[in-house]
Amino acid sequence: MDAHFLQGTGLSRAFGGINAVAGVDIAIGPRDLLCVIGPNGAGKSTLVGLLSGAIASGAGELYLDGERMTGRPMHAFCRRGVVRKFQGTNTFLTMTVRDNLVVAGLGVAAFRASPMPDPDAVLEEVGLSGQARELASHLPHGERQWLEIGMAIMCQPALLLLDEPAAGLSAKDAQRLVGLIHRLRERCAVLAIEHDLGFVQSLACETWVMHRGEVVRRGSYAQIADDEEIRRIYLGRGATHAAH
Amino acid sequence: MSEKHAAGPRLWLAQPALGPKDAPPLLMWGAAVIAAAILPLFVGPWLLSTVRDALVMGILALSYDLLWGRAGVLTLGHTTFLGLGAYGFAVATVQFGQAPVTGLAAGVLCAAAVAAVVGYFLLFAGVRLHFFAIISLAVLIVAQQLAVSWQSVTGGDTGILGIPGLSVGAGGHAFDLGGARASWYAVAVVLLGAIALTWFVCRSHYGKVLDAIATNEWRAKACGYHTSFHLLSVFVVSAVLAAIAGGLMASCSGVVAPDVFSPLLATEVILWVAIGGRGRTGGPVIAAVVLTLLKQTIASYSTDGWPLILGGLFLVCVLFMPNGLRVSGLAAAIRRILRAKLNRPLLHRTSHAQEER
Amino acid sequence: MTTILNILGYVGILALVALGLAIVFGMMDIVNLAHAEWVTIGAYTLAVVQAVAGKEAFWVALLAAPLTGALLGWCLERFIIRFLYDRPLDTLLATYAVSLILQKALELIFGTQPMLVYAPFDGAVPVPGGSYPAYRIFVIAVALIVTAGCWLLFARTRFGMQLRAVIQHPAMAEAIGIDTRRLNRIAFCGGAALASLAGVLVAPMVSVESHLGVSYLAKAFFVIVLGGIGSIAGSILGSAVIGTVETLLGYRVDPSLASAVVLVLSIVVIRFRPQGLIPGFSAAHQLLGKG
Repeated sequence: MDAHFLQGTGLSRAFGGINAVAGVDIAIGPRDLLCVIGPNGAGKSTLVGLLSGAIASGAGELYLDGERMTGRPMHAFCRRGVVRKFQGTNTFLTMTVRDNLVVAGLGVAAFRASPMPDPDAVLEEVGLSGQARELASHLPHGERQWLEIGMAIMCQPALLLLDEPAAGLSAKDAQRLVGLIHRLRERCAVLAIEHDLGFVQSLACETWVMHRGEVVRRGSYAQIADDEEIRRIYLGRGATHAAH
Repeated sequence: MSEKHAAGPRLWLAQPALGPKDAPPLLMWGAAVIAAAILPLFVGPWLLSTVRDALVMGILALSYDLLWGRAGVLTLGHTTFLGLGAYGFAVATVQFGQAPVTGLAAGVLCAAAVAAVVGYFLLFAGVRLHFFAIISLAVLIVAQQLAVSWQSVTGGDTGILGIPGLSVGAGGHAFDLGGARASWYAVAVVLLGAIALTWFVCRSHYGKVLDAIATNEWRAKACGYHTSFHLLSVFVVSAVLAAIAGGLMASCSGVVAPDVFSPLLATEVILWVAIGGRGRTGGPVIAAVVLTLLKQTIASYSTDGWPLILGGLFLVCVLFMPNGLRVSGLAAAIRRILRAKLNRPLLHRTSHAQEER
Repeated sequence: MTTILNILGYVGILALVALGLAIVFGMMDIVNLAHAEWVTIGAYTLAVVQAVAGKEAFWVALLAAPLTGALLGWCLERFIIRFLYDRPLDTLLATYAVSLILQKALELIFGTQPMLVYAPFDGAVPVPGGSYPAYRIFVIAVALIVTAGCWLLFARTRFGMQLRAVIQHPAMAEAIGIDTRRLNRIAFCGGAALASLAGVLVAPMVSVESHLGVSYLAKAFFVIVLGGIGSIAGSILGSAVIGTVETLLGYRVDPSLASAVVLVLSIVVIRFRPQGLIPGFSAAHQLLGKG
């Protein structure tokens, strides 16, 4: 077993009596690519929140590179390489696209006393070079998604958490994203939660299925797709065929 | 790009190259330097002192612009630090007979300590917005009460009199800066220097970081910034600058009394930044100088007029011009009035918490 | 025993002032810094009524002051706060401006000398440990009854349930058909009326001048900090704590030192329990960044 970058055991979080995440064990290695799928309310976003430090775990332990991170604040997670790309968009709306990237990269670089990634190169990578001087609030939704991804890259992640990355992207953009994720895999681990099963299929990686706060299946996408019980979880009883 | 290769503190202060957008501020600063240099030649000592006192208020405005205009931390009790600086200077020079420079240091230290402690307890607990503002007001009120009751140190209601003017000792020689002209130059140097420094820092990467924290603190945390720490730093620096203004004020006027801890003046400070434009370094300073001179003029006609005008001005500004006095602001104000007439129902969910759940 | 009565009196007044603030803050995300001016307004109403109609008109003023307060509160909401629903920080500033204007206006209209007010009855009542002014006991009684009434209204009636719904989730309350704007207005005027009532009650015991409300403003907010936003029980508890601490301390040390201690206490509480002792689960908790 190669040394895992992130190790979580028994991660749990309840919101007022509802177990959003119930005892999840997770271990992610340095170059892993992992997809988490599941119906609405399965706990996927909560899990990402737990892994990025945005939400405190009610029970269980979380370690990054051997360092105990349970209960530590969100910025500590980011500084150690767990970077989250938010669902929807959450950017600095009053600042330009390029400034968004600069701000995203500066904190981590200063903390590690290492150079910041080149913002112009990242702009190139996410295809926003033409909009460098635009205000983030002027960008359409799809381009703001790319800005989010660019900001995540600027944070020099060791583990990139993608929260529904394909949402709102056109089919062409989604394929571009798949390519980008495969390229990113050379530098960091990636965990994506997604609803778009076509996207997950294109990624062709290890896939976990969450249901009611627990991980019920782990396997390759092909295995998951053929599983009767998974279809039932997604479509409810009495469903005949999961078409995708 | 030099940004790529800089690391550590140089990274924080890395500047974008000078461009055409920088021309107006630089020109205005240059003009201000020239004006400050030659004004004493044309103006008599009484008027010079009056404008000099207004310049001291300009320093206070600058300190608040850093805190509220840039970092987005609203406080209602900023004059606490003005008062601490003034009283620190007064106590050190009058009660303990220290040199004015030591007095300034004493005032600065007092203010920094209070800001650090209160700021730490509140900011690191995640207290922001309304509660922070109100507690700052409470701190101000308590400071005023203490200044009145702690008679042995602060002189009670009368305050401290006979505060010496500025003087700087260098190489065994004492340079007396107490006269009208000398103190003018001293204050002008401090003000213009502070403006230049603030402009320089806010232009750099750190200015962008502060902007980001003010705009969307949650997102900044997700980018690895210990936002509470940065806000605390700005709070302390702002307090230090306000304390310097306080020390200068005490030294120039020779007296300090508990009414320096004034909620009314704290309101004016907010107004200066609101009118001058939040985060537009020069604007609040100009607004401060102009409004202070206006206040002096009105006060000579009627003592009650000013608070009413201040309150009214404040109200108008908040309702119709939240972004300061600008042509686009006037247009937005007219639009706002029209929209209010149409009385659109608004679900008042504000966007200040942009958390992801 | 007199100590306990003093404490009860202070706590009762504080509770009346803080209640309105807590509910409005919880419901509307709005901090009304002019709230304490309504205490002043209540006191001045008493002065005016008694100047016109004599000492016995106290009972008239007892009714007139809350009504005046509610009316003026409606004006404030209608002409200023309504424009600022989506800008809570600007509401803070605007109401602060209003409080400045009100204080100055009262000074200009009535002068800077304290106004004359009379308690409706004199005399003392024997209590264990000495005797106690009858009027103060009356104040305690009224404050307790009204506070209890508010709590009953809040916790046990359908109207109160609607208020609580708006506090917890305004959008949801609106979605299920509750007229949030009407409720907000009612709550706002109600809070103003309570503050004015407190003003009438307290007027014969203090100096009635334009700065009367200022000292209650900070205290009311400390009550909310301690007690939590949007919950009546929290406000009552917060008033009890602050009222007790300040009264007891006031016997030993300088009042300004007592205020300082209360300030420090509030800062410490906010550090370690920012949602207050009995939080009402209001959306306003976002303002504290936690909870």
